[in-house]
Amino acid sequence: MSMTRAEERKLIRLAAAGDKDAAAAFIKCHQNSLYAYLLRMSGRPDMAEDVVQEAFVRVLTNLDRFDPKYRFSTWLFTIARRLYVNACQKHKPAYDSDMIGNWRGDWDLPSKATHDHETATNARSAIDVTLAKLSPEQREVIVLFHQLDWPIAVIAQHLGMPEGTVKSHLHRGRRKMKALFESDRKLSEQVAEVWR
Amino acid sequence: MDRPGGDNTPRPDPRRGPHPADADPRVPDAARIPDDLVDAFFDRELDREAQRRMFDRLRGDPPRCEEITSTREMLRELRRKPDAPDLTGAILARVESRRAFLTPTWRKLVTTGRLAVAAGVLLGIGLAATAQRLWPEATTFRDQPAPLTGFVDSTRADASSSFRALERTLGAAPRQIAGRLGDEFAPVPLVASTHAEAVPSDRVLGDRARPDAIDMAAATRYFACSSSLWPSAACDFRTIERHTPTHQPDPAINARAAAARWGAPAERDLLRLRMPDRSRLLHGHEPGMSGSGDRPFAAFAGWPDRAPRLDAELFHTDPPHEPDAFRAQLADRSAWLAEARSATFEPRAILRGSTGVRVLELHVPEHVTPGQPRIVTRWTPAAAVGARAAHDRPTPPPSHPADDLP
Repeated sequence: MSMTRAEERKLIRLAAAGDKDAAAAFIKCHQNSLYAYLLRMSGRPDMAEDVVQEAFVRVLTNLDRFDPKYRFSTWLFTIARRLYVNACQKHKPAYDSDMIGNWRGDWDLPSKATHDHETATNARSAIDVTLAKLSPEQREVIVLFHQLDWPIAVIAQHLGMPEGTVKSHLHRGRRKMKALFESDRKLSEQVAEVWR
Repeated sequence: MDRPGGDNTPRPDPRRGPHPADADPRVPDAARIPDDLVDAFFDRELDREAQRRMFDRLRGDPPRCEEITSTREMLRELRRKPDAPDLTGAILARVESRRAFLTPTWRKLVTTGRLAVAAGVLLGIGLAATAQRLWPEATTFRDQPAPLTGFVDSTRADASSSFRALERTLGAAPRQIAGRLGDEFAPVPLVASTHAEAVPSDRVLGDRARPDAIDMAAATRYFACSSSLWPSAACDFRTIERHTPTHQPDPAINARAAAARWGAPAERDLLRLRMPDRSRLLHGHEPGMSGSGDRPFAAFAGWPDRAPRLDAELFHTDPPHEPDAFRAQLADRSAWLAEARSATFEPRAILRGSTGVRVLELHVPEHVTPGQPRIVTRWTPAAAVGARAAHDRPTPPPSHPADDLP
């Protein structure tokens, strides 16, 4: 769900005036991408939920401070990122396979254990595992660029680093991730052959 | 995106690791796709034509083709967003606990109220601007730049009080001088009648560039006389002051001007100034008082026995800067000046405000009739006084105008 700048400004005006529906529309429009971003970054669903909620609360209670020359999503993600950094300083994120597996609640449901679903789930699991092995900068750049489709210039502004640095993190992270992903997939195939 | 210069030969980059075709000797070096091109492809920097050319080249570089394919598959998986819980309700509840949402009706009311306030402010500003344009004086909050006004008021009040003091003194004077004066000069009670007038321009005082004109203007600062004691001297001191002794054709006026300038002429001059029809001018029956801004002096022309002494001894202080000394000197003088010691007589009040005020004149109507007292007060800036002092210093006029009198 995306909206044009005009629609976004109208919703901001209404939400700032106290319109509950406009605030809900904002949340529904951005919560999935923000949650995905934070989940990819942290690897912890509970932290992602907390940060998403706190970010939206802060944004919606301070809409009068929003500068319309920026995109609302950029403002939202900037606030969320700061909250995430603060949260990381308090609770260092822990990547472990149990937690990554648990945040997909249907992981162990026998009724949905179809082959396709299992394949996709395994792939997403491999993605999460490989993402967790990247450096924080590489992980964030890859998520913002390839998952959220942010332009390089916006990412550079969001992270406060030159575009060349962003590209460097992107290229190296993508190569490293691909190598990890390949090795994980080969390992999965070997395991599957053993079980077959 | 092609490589610059069309050279698409792969270049080994130690940071990037081996080329995927390194292990495949079937791929010639010229057919290998460089890493830069692959990165540009995944960075979405290749246009459609460049992408098509790269895909064509992939047929000749199977390892790179396999690599790109697996990378695209990985990124496709990455783009699949995880299932996110719907946090809308929880977020709205938390927001509502901090800031209440409004119903559409209330929002309209709030918006209408804000518009009404804004319109009221704009209307007020507009009305204020209109009022300012139509009635600028009524809508200006700062003080109007009228230094003369306050000074005239204070001086008028001060002159009136001084004149009342003089009046009381003069009321007692007949008893003191009755033995020496004839009935012809018997003084009558004084009734003050004053009004203030600001001299509008230098023209009233004549040509101020001429030292003699400045001299006359500066010499008589404060003059009070009683025409009731001075019944035949219906002179207009403004006229006197406007003319110098040497330029006034009327010798009587010249004489009065000289007397005004000198303040307290010597007995010899008083005798010479005596005229048949205006013999009381500057004679012994017109008590007057004058003072200059920087060096006040008194001219009690009506008291021949006191005038020289008063002139020489009394007011040699600077009232604005030495008020205590001035009062002390006043206290030592004769009894008829006792009233001048009262709190109502404040030379400093008279003299203050000289800065920026060129001329102030308090006077009675132009044509003084016998029995009508008057007060003449003149004020000139210090520069004019200095010019007068410089002009006075060398010698008196060589030919005294009173010499022409019969």
